[in-house]
Amino acid sequence: MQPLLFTVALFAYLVVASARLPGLWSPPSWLGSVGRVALWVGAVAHIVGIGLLAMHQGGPPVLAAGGTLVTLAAFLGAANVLMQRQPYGEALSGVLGALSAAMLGLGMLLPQGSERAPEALASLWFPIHAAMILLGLLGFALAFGVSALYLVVSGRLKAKRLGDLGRLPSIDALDALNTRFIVLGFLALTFGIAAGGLWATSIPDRAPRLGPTVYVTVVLWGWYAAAVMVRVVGGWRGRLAAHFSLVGFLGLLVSLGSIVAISRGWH
Amino acid sequence: MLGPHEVVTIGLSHHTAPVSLRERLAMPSDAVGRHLLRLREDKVAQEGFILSTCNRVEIYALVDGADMGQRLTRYLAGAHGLTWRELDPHLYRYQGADAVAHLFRVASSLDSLVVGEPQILGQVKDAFRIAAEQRAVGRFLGPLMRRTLTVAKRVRTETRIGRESVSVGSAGVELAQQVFGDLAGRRVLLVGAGEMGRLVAQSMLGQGVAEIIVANRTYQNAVALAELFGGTAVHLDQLTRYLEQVDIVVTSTGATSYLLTRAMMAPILRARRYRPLFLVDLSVPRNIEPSVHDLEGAYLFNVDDLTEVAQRGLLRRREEASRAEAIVQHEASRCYRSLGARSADPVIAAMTRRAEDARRRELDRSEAILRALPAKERQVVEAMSKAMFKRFLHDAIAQAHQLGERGDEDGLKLLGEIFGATHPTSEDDDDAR
Repeated sequence: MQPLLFTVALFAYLVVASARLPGLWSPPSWLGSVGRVALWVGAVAHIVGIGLLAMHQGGPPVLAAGGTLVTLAAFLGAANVLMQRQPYGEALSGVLGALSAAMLGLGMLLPQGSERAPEALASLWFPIHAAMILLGLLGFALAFGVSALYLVVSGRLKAKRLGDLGRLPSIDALDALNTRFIVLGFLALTFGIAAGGLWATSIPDRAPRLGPTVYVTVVLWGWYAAAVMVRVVGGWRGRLAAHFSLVGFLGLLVSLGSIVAISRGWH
Repeated sequence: MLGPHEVVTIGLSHHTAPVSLRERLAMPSDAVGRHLLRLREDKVAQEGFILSTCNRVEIYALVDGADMGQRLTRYLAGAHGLTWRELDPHLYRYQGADAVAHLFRVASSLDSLVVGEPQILGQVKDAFRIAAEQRAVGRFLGPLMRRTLTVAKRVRTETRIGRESVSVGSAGVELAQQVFGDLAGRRVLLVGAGEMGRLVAQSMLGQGVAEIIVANRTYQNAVALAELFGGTAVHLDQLTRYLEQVDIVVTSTGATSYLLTRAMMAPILRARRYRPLFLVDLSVPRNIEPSVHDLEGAYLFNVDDLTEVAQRGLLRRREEASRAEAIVQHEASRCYRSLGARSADPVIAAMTRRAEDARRRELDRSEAILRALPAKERQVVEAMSKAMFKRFLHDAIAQAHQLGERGDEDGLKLLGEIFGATHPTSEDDDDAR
């Protein structure tokens, strides 16, 4: 059942992206309402699918890269729905819709995990680790969306394409939002990594495994640590901060895609 | 028709009359009160209010249906020392639903010189306030005034008629808001004392900017302008220092070469760590090298950009005006129908009064029998008699409302006669108020 629900969600997110992204460059049309309906359909189908997958696996489907991506995409879809009430919600929804579709599509290609290994449940550190990593990735995904929108608005100002620009959020607001999401993501990822280390050491007779996902996580942490330094400590603003968010999250998606391409069938 | 009366509008505006005539008819607030009093004392109108602004003078009145405001026109001419012939070619007259629609259009700023400007609604509110203070409005124009404010707010909420920038000043604010969002707390550097620069700075001041710093070649002029804005005056050679601190720069000088060049701005922007700097160059020839716009963190707009935003805003307001017009027409016919239903109120009141008298008489006649009944049963009889009369009158009241909405004066009269209720006269309305 869940593959069908995920497919429905995937198509719905693609509709959201197709309906809402043109609105960043042209006047709003009836497509905006289509996007709103599609977003609800996608998020609901996606969350129900995740629920079914969790029931099947006996816990949140976050032990494999595919499951983590599918779950993260569901959170992003839900965040997208919640942000519709914000002044920037409609403008941001097209970008987040496209990102949800990309993450869900990639997650569907990757292994989503099988039944939960008993040692995963043996420690309290596991749910903390999983929740923090997911929160961190959600922060980075939102920062990606906000940064993409920042570049669109800033690009339109630079190109002096001023028609209907007033509907889009200001670049200063987007810059502040990007910073908040990066800091949230970085703090959550740091706690998540620390909790993961404690979880690994708390399982007796099990040597820590350093797989590709661990390397990707460490690189990701380093990248966003640099982003926080540049933006928060150094005070650098504008496109530089936006590019950090974009490259960081795109890098994560590309890395995960590469992992599955190289080691197909790897669990 | 609203019973024996009708709502009429008589007036002139920038569309129909030159300023020389408008200024002769213009009425200050205290004069408006006096005119409203005279209109009722002279029985020219039963109810009324006057809207007098620099662009229009209009009298909205409830007049006798037979007269249709002829006396009102004569009054308007006579009160201002004009002849009918002088005034009449410039006047417009509306009656019934058209008068209501015109009021809604005026209050919604669809009839304004600059469509969508917000001041007119405040002026309409003032006109209503004066009329209410003078007790010059009653059963018909009272609800019409309240409905007018609701419709004007609806037009502002449901269309973008008041949101588009139509002046260079507001266009500058709109672009700055695209960079910063809220302008509250931002610092503005005004370079030069040009008129356009003043206008933009004034608009930004209206948006709550924290400080306006004025730099000018002649320091005394900078001081004078800074005093006007409650800001700070600085010497032109201190420009670089302030460029690192402010958020917005507006240049409007007579300089013939660039005051701010790319080479000068690049290190400043780096020192700001690319915190956005919004620059408006209103000078011709330009004061800021155009390629400054290509630098990271700099957003430079010139007078042509601002004019383009303002012109597009005007165009959009015109587009929005057609949507607003549809709202106004729909609301006007609805409002006029509901005012019409009110014209049946005296007939309905008389019918109800007569029915209640009859009910009381019959109960009094059976007083001896009723007194013998237990209290609970007496209450039942009382309630039953009320319910019977209510049910009996229900259809007649609904019919009266419909006749009022349709403006069927004869029908209302007949209904009133059937129930022994006299139809209202102008004097009744005066008493009711």
